[in-house]
Amino acid sequence: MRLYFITLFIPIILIGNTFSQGVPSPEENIPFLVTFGNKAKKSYGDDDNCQIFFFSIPKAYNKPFYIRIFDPETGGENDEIVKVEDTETTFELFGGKGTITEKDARQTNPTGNYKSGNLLHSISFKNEKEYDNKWYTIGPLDPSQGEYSEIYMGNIFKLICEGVTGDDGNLYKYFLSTSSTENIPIPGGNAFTFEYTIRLHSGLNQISHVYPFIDENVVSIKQTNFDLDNDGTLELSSVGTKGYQLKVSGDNEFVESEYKIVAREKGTSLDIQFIKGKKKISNNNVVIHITNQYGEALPFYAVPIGGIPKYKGLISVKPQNK
Amino acid sequence: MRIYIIWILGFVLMGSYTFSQEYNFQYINQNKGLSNNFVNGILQDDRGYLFICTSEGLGVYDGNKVSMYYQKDKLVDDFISASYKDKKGNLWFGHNQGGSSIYYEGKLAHVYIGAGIGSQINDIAEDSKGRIWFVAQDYGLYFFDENNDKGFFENPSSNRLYYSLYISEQDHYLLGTDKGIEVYDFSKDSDGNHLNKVQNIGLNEENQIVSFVNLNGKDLLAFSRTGKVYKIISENGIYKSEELKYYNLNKDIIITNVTSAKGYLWISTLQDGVLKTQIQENQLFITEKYNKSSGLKTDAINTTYVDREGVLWIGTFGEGLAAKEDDIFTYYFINKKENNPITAIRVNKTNLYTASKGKIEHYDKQNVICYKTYTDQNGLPNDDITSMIFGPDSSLFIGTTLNSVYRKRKDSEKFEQIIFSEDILSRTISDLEISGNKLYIATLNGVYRYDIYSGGVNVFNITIGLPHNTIGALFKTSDDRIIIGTNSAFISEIINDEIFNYPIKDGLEVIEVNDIFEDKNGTVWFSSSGAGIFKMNKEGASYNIGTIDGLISNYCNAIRINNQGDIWVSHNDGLSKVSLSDTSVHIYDDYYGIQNRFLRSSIDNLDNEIWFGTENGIVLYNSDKDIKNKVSPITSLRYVTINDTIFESNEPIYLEYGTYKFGFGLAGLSLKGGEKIKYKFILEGYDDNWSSLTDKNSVYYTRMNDGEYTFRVKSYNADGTEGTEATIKIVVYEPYWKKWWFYAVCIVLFLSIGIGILKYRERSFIKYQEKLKRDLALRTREVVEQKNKIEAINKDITDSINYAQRIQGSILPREEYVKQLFPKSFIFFRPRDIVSGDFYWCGEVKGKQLMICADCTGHGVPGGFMSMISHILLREALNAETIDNPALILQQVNNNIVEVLKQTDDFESNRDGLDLAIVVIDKQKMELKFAGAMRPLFVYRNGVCNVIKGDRHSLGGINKDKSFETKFTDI
Repeated sequence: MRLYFITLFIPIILIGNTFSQGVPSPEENIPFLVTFGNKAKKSYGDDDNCQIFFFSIPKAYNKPFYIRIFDPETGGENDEIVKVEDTETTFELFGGKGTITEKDARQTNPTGNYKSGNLLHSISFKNEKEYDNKWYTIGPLDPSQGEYSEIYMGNIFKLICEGVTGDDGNLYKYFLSTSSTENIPIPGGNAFTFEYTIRLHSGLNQISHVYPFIDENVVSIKQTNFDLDNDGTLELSSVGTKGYQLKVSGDNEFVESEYKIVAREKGTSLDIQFIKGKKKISNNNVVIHITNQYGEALPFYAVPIGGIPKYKGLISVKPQNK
Repeated sequence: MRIYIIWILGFVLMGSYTFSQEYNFQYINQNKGLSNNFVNGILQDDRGYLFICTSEGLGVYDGNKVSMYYQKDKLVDDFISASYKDKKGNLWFGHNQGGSSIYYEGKLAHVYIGAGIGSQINDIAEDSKGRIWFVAQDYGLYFFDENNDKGFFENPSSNRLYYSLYISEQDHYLLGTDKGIEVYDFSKDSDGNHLNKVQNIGLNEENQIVSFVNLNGKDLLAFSRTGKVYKIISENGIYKSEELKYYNLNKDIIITNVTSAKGYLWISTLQDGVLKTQIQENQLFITEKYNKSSGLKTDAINTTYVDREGVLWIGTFGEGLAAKEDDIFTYYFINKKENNPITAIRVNKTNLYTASKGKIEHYDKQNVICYKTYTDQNGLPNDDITSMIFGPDSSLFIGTTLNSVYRKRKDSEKFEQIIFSEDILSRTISDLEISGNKLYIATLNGVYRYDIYSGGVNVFNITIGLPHNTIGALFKTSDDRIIIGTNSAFISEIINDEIFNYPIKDGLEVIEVNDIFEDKNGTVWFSSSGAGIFKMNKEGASYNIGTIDGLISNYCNAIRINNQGDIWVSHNDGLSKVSLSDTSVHIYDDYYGIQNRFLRSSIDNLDNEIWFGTENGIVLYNSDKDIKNKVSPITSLRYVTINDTIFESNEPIYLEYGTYKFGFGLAGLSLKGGEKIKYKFILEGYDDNWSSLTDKNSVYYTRMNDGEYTFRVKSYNADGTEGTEATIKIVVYEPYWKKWWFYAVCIVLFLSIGIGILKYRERSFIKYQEKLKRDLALRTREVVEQKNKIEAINKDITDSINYAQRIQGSILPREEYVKQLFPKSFIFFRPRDIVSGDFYWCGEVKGKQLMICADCTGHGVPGGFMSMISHILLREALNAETIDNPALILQQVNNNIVEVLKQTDDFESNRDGLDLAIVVIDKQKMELKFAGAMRPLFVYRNGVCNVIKGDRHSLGGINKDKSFETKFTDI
């Protein structure tokens, strides 16, 4: 049933994929992804020093492609250096059997066999200047090297970024590209994660978004955020809800809040907005994930499935005048 | 060292630019039936088929087309990540999600051992005992052999990923991991199989070893994914490594695979294409690169393979399989995005000059680096340059389309125009030639001869004997003649300022000459527009080679003859090579990567090279690399059809009696020029001789009846090398009526029937005989009875007749009486029957002896009656009166007979009578009287016989007017 449901929404998905496949995407308005070295304090905003992203290549696409990493090293511009540049970050790309179908790979915490699949590429960065504020390209890659999944709509690759040494924060971005030297999106390609660790804007009045996808089996969701430092509000909008307030965590704190899914929201994405507060907080890193009523993590898509949800108002029924 | 020089030159000549040097690659990709353009492995089986391992199935290429095999065809998984050909010729395939497949005796099969190990197979190897080892990336190693011995070695070293395996002659297992190389020993005892780590080879731990290559059986090299190359040295069983440095600009190179063939190491990379490398003095040198810059569609290469014919196969990452067959042609394009027609070209040992519209470029030929470009800044007109030639003073002369001739002196950078005639037509230059210090200039107004020192000019045109003023080409022969090609029916030459014209095709056809050249024997050949090429001799040019002989086209642009004795002709659509020895023609078309139109007279040659100018760059032919492919193609039958039903096996086919249509699909497996394969075939039992060469790959025979047929086919590769032979036997059984036993049965049957008939007839005959016998007996009895009856009757009759005879005899005189009357007489009386119609009588009447002899009509009893009657009548007629005249006796007897027998003239009246002679002797008178009725008298006297004829009447009968005469004679 779930498969039918996904299939039903493929046209919508394709429409949504006219956006670029940068991670974070422009629609998300997130400055960077962030991963700290394993010696960093949790209060810096990264609960597990690991970020797992999945890239989906449509089955029809059978040409080489590339995954590009912007500013993969830790040092120089963009990154959050704690005293000295002592952090090493590894990027490991997996494909093949178990990449996504392995249950541990879909958890919010990197435990168990989360590095499932065939290791296709592995690279470590410290503070190499030649990659500071520049792109590093993994590939070319063969779409068939991924794990094909009907549910996730294509051949799935998994890129795991881990801070293996140090306590600095590595801020970086991804791009799923058809070119090794330019960011050219793959038609129908997408990227998703089950837990975001992101850097929020420092400036005021900035709104960042994440877009979890709600499948037809979801009855309610529970959002968990960590170390938001009470920086503004966290609101949920969707085709059926506007400005639903979610709990906001403080420094080094996990909070949870629930939201009941209405029928209209099934098969669409939710728009969870990080709305900056009045006070300026810099270098605010935050972790967020969402689980359904069974505790299963739900994916956040860089390019929201079905497009950015727009609230359609209440549906009212007027009695007919006699 | 050469590499260093190239780089140094590159830096020194900064600001100059180089040709892009390209090769011709053929592709097998999704357009040709490959399911996927990501090629992960290439193998060739013992039959010559090329196995292409892709991410979505296994392709099998037969030189003509690709057949794909998938999971449904017994492949464990469509994604093939590793491949290996074992010593027995079996092909092994490892898969992306674990498991392996085998291609065994022409069929695919699953390999069940290790099927549950869900880790990508990265490498497959075979040890000295025939064990097949699999390297599973996350698992480790496992093996099995044909005796079903197997061993699984999970994580032989902790926290490692496993990529490659090399098994040394000493049975050391060098395992390439993501952190260097580990060495293992394998042992087998009663406890099972053991793999013991004995050493880590001291590499940088970060290096993922993706490939091992044992080069020429001596040097073992290990290649890391990050581009590092290590020489692995074994001393007393201890291994150590030594990194080999090499120079490559691309730092981020990722090596995917390395193969060794033809004395080179072929390194596949994801960023830099294929590196063709050699090891010299412990260093790795990149001798050539095949990537986007040299004509490949991509820089991302997964693997390479050199097949049995020396073809380099390049498995690309996303562009399918590329093949580089040879280096016969090299392509130079200055700028691929714009047309760059090279209208004239000149080469010498070290320099290359190219000309195009308003531009001449001077290159270092060896390294294809442009030294200098001459344009309008150097005085060149914005005009097409049609020809270039160096003078004896090293001046460069160029001819232009509209602006006459230009000259650049040796030490000058400027081109100066030479006006040698005021005639506007003389400014259109088609060719230049140098002889001594004379520059010959081909124009639309004849040939001008310009003295490069004095500036003096001579003209050769129609006024002094040229057949036409439009000159197409000039050529100076080795014996210093100037050959002139015009737009006429003649080819001309200048000897001692005199023009000689020789007819082309007997002077009957106008031929436009485009280019002229001379072979090593001094024979001049020229090319034409529309009529092919011609050979010139003293009688003219009648020998001609054209499309009918195999040229691509009769429109021939440039012509050159190389040291190998081949005539090269350029056309708009390609090149033709004509062998001078046997005039065979080989054509080079887009299959060889020739896609641009060749330009008229844009050609030059030097030693083993011919340089052709095209509408977009240059094509270089190198005869040293034009090596005939002597590897025999492998011939096979793709299919056999009987009445359109396909038989795939090569086993003999046996068919019941009938009429059939045979079809044969032919395959000549040559992967080098596979599209140009040809075949010869024969159907023994039907054809008398082998067919002629054909490029058709299917053959059909219709209305085939009973018989034993053997189809034999041989293939020939693009260079004519004969391949192996494939055969198949087809037997259409004879009908039963053609079998020997049927003949035997028939013979036996016929014999039996024959014998039966004979027996039957014999039996019938016997029966008939018996019947006849019975009938005969019956008849005989009847006959005997009749006989007896007849005999009884006859006896009675005979007795009666005998008695009648006695009566008749009584009328005859006794013999004593006769002797008494006629002492010297005798009687000859022989009646036919018992009683007779004959009688005689004698007597004496009146002293006269009388003798009568009569013959009555009838015999037997009737005669007897007549004789008795006649005797009586005769006795009545004898008297004294008649005795002296016997004729009267006759007369009287006659009358009496008529009367007695009542004879009349009536038709039914009897005619009986008698013939009779009467002799009366009168001894006294010594006189004899004779009267005869139809009877003569013979008188024999003194040895003389006289006949006295009687009268011609018988006595009796119907003639009443009978008279008889008595005749007399003396005694």
